[in-house]
Amino acid sequence: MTIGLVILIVYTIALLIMAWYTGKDTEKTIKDYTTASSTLGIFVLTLTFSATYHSAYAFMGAYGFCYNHGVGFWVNGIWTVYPGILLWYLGRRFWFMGKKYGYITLSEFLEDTYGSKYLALLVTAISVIFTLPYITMQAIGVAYIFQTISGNLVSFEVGTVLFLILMVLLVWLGGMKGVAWTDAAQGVFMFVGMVIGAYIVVKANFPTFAEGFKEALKINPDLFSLPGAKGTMTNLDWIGRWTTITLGMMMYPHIILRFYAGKSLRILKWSAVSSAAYLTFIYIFTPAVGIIGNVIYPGFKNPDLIFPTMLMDYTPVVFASIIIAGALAASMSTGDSQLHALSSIITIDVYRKYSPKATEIKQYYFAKSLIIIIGLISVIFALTQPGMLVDIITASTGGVVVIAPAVIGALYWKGSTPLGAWASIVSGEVVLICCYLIEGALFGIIPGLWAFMVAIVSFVVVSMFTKARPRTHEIINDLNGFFCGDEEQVSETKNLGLTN
Amino acid sequence: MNGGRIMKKSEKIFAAICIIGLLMVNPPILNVVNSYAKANPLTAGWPTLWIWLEFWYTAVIASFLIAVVKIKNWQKEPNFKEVKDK
Repeated sequence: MTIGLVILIVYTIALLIMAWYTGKDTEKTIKDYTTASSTLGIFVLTLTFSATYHSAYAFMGAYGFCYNHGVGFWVNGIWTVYPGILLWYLGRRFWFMGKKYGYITLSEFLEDTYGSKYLALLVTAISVIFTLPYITMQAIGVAYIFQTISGNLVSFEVGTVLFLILMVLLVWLGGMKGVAWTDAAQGVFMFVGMVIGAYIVVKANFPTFAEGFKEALKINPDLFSLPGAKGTMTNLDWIGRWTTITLGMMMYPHIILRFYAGKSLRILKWSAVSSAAYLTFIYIFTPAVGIIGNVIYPGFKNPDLIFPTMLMDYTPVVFASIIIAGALAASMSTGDSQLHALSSIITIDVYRKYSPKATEIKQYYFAKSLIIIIGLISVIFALTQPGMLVDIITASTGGVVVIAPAVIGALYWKGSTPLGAWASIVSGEVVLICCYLIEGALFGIIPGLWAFMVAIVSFVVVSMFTKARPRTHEIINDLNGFFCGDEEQVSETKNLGLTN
Repeated sequence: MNGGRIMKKSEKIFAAICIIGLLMVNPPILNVVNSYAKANPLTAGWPTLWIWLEFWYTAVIASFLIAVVKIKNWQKEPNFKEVKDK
């Protein structure tokens, strides 16, 4: 057994103990299992949001993307800065409604707003279908890590099975509290691993970063401008990536559950600004590694592995293994949150709704048993090795971004109607599927952006010609009453059971 | 209650910075910077385009931080007397 493997094993055992310890007080209720009964503080909420937001893509896909396409990788910055802001603008409204009406999931909120249980079911189905490839991505990431760190002693297949076992144990032991605390620990590990690790591998090869960039410029100047070394990063590709990923990421169930989990608005607010900073500055040296990687490893076969490979080749094995544990952290912190989120939303949106006699404890154990099933499905997908990490994330977010117009409309626009929501979601998904079946990037626009544009237009047009529900008005009035801040509205909010 | 959206001046300023930040890191302005970056790929030893993008991302984060501290409307905290559990 290699030293690297031993370090990874110690690291994972430490995480499992932490999950067990922090989750041992979890009440056996679905609400505590799902949102930790809204008890998370700034530190944990910031890091669980950020670590969940960043996945195997951060530690591997981002470097691979930068290796292939160069500086255009930093379109990524848009979807690291603005999610923090969206966490505040969208998240506070979800949090408020969750507190006031006891919502735990997105579908519960949409069902109340739009008055359609089938629409809510459709949203749950979309969330499940498009989160599965994302979990698959984490499984691939974990398998790559075990493969790299063990010098191919652990095969890709065994790595994915290890992912399944680890994820199931983490969520099973900890519920939301355990997942959030282990995410927080892994978030710290991931930040240190990515920033210090990247700094060291570049410095091991060049006296300064500038020297490294100068060498890379001689080899391939296209890495320093758009559309990049492979001509991929066109204007439309750039816009398509950030719109679909920024908004799409905010629609994933593992992200939305965190909107509800904060202890107060103050905590949500500070977590939002801290997350924007964390998510952005974690990539501070990524362009250096990706671009300079072209000098050190020209024609590298699997660019997603460039950073772990550099670590293994240019730093002592113990140090490399500790830093690579940060990669494991990136994959696991997202994977466990996604498994936890899917098991929660299926239990709340489907099982609880259609088995009204199910007791709290039955719901709790149903959610836990779902973790194994969902984990198994994602591992089976992972074994087919469906593509590069960045392509999986783009396709997957394209599927969930379609629900964004209906969700944002329900939070902000009183003209939003159930028919508008139906038209938006159905037309968006149909367009997405057609785009993938026909050509992919039709006229240079990625499928996710086509689907998103169609979803927006359908939502607005159909809503304008159909009648909004009084309940939609009531909910948005509640929200505006509190958040808009004019005295008259706030005082009326007090009458609704709120005090300011 | 009319329930209409009313943004205070400070919120409008923050929203404007967010929009300006977004415009600066997207075409067509990005194309102008990209043309400059093709002629001058490195600035202070780092990729010119990366520095441009990083500057705007940092500016938006910094303004978000200031907004969080300064915007009074964001300091409110509701007290829920009764939460209807579903």
